[in-house]
Amino acid sequence: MNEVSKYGIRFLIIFLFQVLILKRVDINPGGSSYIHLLVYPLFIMILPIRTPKGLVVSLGFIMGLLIDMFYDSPGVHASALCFTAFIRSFVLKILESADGYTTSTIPSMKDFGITGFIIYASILLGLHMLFYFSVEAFSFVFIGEILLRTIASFIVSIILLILIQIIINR
Amino acid sequence: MRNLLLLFTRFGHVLLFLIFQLICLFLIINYNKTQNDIWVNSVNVFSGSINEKIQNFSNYTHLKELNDSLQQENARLHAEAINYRNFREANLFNTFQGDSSLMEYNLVPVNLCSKTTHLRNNYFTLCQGKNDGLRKRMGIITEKGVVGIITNCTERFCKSIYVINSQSRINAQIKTKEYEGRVQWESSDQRELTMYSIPKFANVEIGDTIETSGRSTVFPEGIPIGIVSDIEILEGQSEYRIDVRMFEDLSRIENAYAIDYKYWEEKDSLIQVELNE
Repeated sequence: MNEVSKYGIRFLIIFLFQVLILKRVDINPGGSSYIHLLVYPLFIMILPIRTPKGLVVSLGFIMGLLIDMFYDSPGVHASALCFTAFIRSFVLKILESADGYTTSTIPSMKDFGITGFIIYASILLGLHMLFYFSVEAFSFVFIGEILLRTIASFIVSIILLILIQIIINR
Repeated sequence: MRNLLLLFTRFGHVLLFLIFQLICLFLIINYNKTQNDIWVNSVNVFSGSINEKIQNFSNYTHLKELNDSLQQENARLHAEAINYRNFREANLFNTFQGDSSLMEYNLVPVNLCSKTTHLRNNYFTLCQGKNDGLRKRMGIITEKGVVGIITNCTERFCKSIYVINSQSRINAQIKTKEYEGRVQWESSDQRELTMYSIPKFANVEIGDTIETSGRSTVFPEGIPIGIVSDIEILEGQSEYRIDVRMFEDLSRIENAYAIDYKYWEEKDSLIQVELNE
């Protein structure tokens, strides 16, 4: 199985899981809407490190647009995921260990270790959520609400995201 | 070129990122209700404050012009009244003033609702109509000169033809020389009219004033139109072609007067009979 089809299938799984299942799950207590389950940034996270940066950004944009189609919010998810894809290379550089990456390194639990991957995924997902809720509110007047949503959604989503990563990687 | 390519391979993803974010911004603003509201609101707050400042400023400069023209008009009216009082025998002006039946012409103040001045056939609409005493074939003037003629009236509005309309014809004369001709609009300059039918032996000079002749019921005699800016004798013809520079800049008019001639029906019916014979 070559790389393209392998990542194509991962893309489909993550995408369908997000728009078909997670979109319908509402675990908010009462009538509030603080918890949004967003795990689709996982696809951008697990792309091989040698993937061209331009391709990563483009994939982020395309996936975001597709997600937006199902969430009826043209541009919001696309903007956020595009941003996440863009900062991925910086995060990878910061987390780079002394001996560096090899060409075959993949950001996964196997190559990063469980702690390493959780740190990596947390940074990206946290920034993604912050950006997403900022764009959704579209004004920093709502900064308190943005932070509250980011934290609440992040806690639930990161657990889900790690679980999916474990399942996909098996 | 090589450097450019190198630059692109290194920073291409930054460029891509920025382009995608711009596309996203466009999508978000155009297709999301709440974000669109926030955007429109913010832009309005921003542009509104700027617009307000500009508007205030232009109002201020406009005020001065308005004031000037009002002052001039007042001065003219005052002078007229004083001249009339001095010229006539004692007390005649009082009877003239008191007896409104002696006044043949009446002025109705009007406002321009909409107008075009950049086309070949320019029209404007008045915010007043039959209810305000307007009717078809009334002349529209300002203190500086002729503006146009009403062509159609409804209860509340009137459509009028500008002097600067290719179909407009106005009877005119050269002040103090009494030669009559017709004024029409041929150039693309909004302030340039053309006058025909002045015979070759008339002693026209650049700087002469052109005014209405008062032969029709539309304009009384002596309403200014413009001054002669160029004279030319047409090849093989016995008349002048005179370029007339208008006093009034028609694109800036907002207020004007409609001229109501008391005996227009009587006079028009006579002219009509003559034409039919």
